Amino acid sequence: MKKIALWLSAVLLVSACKSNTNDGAEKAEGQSDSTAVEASAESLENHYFGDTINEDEVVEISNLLALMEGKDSVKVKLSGVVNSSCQKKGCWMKMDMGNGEEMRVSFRDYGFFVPTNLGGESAIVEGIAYVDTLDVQFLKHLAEDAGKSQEEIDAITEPEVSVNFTADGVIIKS
Amino acid sequence: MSCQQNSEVMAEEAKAQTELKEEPKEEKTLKMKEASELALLMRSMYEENLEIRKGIMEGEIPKSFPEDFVKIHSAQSNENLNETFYALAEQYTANLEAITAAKTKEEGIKAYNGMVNTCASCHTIYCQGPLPKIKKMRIPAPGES
Repeated sequence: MKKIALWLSAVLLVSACKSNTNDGAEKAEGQSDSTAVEASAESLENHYFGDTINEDEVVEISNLLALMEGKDSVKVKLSGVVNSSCQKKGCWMKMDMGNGEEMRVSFRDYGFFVPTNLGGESAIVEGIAYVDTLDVQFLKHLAEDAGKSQEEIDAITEPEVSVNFTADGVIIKS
Repeated sequence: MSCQQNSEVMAEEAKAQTELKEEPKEEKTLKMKEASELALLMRSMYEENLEIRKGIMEGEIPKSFPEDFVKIHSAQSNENLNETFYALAEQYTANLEAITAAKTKEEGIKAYNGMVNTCASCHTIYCQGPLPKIKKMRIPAPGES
């Protein structure tokens, strides 16, 4: 395998030196690269849940709080990493906001669910972000769904004000 | 930097790239949870109840309700159900019977909304996820939005 790697390196070197003086060679090299990208995209497909959304105009989730400044809610498309999802049904997931906090994502009208093993996956969600107060009973229910121990569930005694998100569509990135 | 030096750097980069390509990202198999018998029944009841709602709003009181609805007392669930659930399930079937016993559209609306309230009460305890959807099932009173 290493011999092949070295041979490929040599071919690339020749192309690189030639491309300094040969526009045609540069074009050929570019075509070759795009084919590789296409092949890669074909082998790793995204997973779509709910409405089939696209990746245009995505905002990094760490910018959400700045976007929500002075607003109760905001319609937005966010990208970020999923920390966990509901273990019972996949009816919610939690995304890392990049500041030590998590954003709970639920799905419009309970209309679709997501996989239960999403921890560490990159995701894009489109919908409405809003600040909400989650009561103790609901927080205990979420903890139970997440597979937390009875001790951890019993430790929940205070309501929580947090950023929540109702998604119309979700992409789990490959 | 000469072309040869440049070439050496590029050779190292190409080698590194090739080695990276030799270890492609292993795609994780995403696991979807299969819906429980109770979850499937609830989805079916939701659709059927929307039909009942439509009928009542047009002044048509149903003479009966689908037999499958009584499976609520026995369907397998992912939730830890207790006697409170079964008491609310009894209340739910009583609500359905009240709908079929209604003599007027107004009585039908009252009985139907009573059923929706029972659904909401149960979901407040066991699974709050569908609550916004359930609340939309209510038939608004005249002047109510």
